[in-house]
Amino acid sequence: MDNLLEIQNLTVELMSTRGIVYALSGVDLAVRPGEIHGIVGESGCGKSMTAKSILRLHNPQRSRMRGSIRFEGRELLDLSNREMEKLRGTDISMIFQDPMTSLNPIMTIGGQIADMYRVHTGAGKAEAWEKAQELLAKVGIEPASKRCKQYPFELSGGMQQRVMIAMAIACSPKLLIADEPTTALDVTIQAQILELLQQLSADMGMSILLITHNFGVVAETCDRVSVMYAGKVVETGDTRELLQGASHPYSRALIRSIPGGGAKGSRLETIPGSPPALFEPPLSCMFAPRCPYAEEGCLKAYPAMADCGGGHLAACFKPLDKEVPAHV
Amino acid sequence: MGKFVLKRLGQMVLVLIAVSVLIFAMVRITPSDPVASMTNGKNVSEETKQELREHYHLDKSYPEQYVIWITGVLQGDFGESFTYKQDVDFLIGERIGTTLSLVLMAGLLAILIAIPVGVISAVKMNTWLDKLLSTLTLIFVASPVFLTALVLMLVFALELKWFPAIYQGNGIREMILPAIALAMNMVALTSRITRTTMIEQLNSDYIRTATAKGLPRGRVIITYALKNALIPIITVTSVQIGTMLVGAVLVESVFAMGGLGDLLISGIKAADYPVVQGVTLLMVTIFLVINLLVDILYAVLDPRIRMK
Repeated sequence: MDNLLEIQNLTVELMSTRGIVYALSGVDLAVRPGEIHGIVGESGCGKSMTAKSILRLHNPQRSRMRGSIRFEGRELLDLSNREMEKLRGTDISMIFQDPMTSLNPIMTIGGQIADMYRVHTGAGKAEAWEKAQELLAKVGIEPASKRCKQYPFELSGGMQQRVMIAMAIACSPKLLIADEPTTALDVTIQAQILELLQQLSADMGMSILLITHNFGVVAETCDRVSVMYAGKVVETGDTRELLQGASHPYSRALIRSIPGGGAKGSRLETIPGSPPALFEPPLSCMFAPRCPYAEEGCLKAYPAMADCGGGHLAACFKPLDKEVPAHV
Repeated sequence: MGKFVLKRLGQMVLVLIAVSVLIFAMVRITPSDPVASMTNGKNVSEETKQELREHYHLDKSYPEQYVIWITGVLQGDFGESFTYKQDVDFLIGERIGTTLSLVLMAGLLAILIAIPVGVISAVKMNTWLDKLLSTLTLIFVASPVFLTALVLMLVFALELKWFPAIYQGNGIREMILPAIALAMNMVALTSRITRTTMIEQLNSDYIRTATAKGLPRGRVIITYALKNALIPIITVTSVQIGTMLVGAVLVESVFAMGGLGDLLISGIKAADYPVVQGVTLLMVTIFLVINLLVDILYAVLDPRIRMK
């Protein structure tokens, strides 16, 4: 099966006042057609950075991207700005963490959906407005004809995120990037939004790249998952397989620190130490200083992603045995 | 909306009453003798002086004088000038055209220059172009109106002879230099505000959304960012137009334009109470009307204000 999206050795360097930040240092990621692919990791690991890189949303003056991002075989990093504008919203679209601030506050929601639809399809005003209503109904905003004329501030956070989704699917994209789409919403709304995304993915055959820091969300929605740490993907695999037996010590430690995982009354597991600052390019395994299994070799070179059986990849010199429970 | 406008109009009336009292009092606090300026400082008999005082109601108590003045104003009669011996209404009517066209032209010019300059600076943030524009605008922020006016006159009227140095009321060409002089301060401040607000808007989440959904860059900047940036820009612009009324006084005097500013200055010099009171009250009224228009404009632009 050909991958829809294939990221290879993607590096992003950001120019900051304190020097160059190596935000991504060689990300490898593949999204298959129709799948929901999760990216998990702690804050600052590069999840959102990866997502934004796919649509090239960084300020080009203050960042440098290298590597390869192939979408349906097309190299996105080689596209002109115009070509990129055409691709955004049509082939790949994106929704964000904070729906409250992600919509234009002084434009009706219908207007915002119609606007992008017209830009991409050249449709007339009336047709675009029809389409906007249809899309709102599709994401469960009823009655669409009335809601269409409302402004973002008149809607709740969950409704606003639905509007974002309606806008994102307006041109039937093949890939939807959802950057922490439920983080700012309360739990019941979270579940509804995730359900909506799953249903849309199934109905439209649309792949979703779901960025989250919540393993619970991954477990419920994702077919496959990639774990990121310090600007790299350290493990990729089938969600259930990875949750049950992660090969990378970091993934395993992360899963073990999910609240409610241990016995009742036991202390919440944590990972000692903290992630490295990213002011220097990585020369060795970034997790090695915190890893209980690290050996001398781990501090000398960077481990490549290697297959540890059945398409399950991990970047570790000493991948953990799936059967043996780890002691962190 | 109608209720909002009515409420604001009511507030405006209260402000105007307070302002009229203030103006009335301030004119009388100044240490000057109106009778002396009526007679051009000539020696006249005490009787004549008394007659003049009676004619202009200066023999009455201050509260009585105020009531006489304000009753006249409410009937559209600003009183008779001490020095010109003409109705203040007439004197204002003769000159208001010049001042209003000067302010209007300067305001338009300022907006037409400032907003594009601000937008370009924001989009090209921290490039040489932004730095050049910032430096230029800083110079104009720092330069007072009368200095700008004098320098412009020196360079473009006296040296290059592109424009006349004196305004004689013959068409738009004569108005250009004064309008530029008056506009520059506003260009500087408005473009700075435009730049700051635009940078803030361009970094906001909804702009990222607009970009992510594939809108062309130009459309994102103009119909999304600029439209959202307009409210702070309009706020500053309206205050600036008020300040311009004051600046116009100086510019008119530099270019000998004979507008309201000239009238006001000569009125102050001569302790011509009705002229000073009339012109000042008119300027305050214009300022208040602009403010009201701006508040209505806010509501038109921003649904969050409109629907409250």
